[in-house]
Amino acid sequence: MAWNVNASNEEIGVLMEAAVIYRDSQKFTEAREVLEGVRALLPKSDAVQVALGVVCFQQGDFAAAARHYHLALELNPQSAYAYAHLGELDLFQKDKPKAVEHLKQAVKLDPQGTSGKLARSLLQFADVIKYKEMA
Amino acid sequence: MVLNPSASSSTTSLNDILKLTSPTTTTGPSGIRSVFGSILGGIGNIMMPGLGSVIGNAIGGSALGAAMPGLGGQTTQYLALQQEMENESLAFETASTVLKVRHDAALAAIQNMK
Repeated sequence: MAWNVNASNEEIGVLMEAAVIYRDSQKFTEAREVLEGVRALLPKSDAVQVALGVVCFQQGDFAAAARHYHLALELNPQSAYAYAHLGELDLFQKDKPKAVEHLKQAVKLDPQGTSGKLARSLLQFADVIKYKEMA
Repeated sequence: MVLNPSASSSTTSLNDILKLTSPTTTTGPSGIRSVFGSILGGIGNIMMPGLGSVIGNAIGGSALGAAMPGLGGQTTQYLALQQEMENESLAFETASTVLKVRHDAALAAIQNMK
């Protein structure tokens, strides 16, 4: 049976926000269900792939998170949001050179926006981690 | 650290207070610092797996305690404590900035989808 659902932008926004609330409440199964639904509605959205990746990341499933982030970059090679999260993932996998590369790419693609800001804050965080390890 | 109530009189001098509040050992963090570090570490762990241990260890001060177990002079102790507090303040500020900006980025991504 083929579905023909045309969700409005507002409805998509509500679903995404619901997923974020589920995710941050550590209700990962529910968050993933909602995001899978949004992905069915917007199969070419890099933001949905990143959101799915963040759910995996927060669960500690780094390999699955990486798959989602790379899928997001396939959908949108200029996705600063995906690069910022990929850099974050690299950082937590202790691959600092790769993290810096991805985070700098995010800053380059979105110097004024929130993804660039996130990448810059993560670059600062990378320095603190190095500092702590030396202490 | 143990505070003796009988020593807390109106004639207690600054030196007495310093003696009472000085840690008995310098090999580990104080109770309050350990608890504070654990709480912040827990918050961080919800958003980023592994972040908690970074912040928790920093605020707990275990690294410094292990590095300098036998500090003698009080001045050196206070300088070390000041350095430790600056380090933990930097770690806390950076991590909390990341968490805030991360949330803002998620909301902005949703806004851009609309």
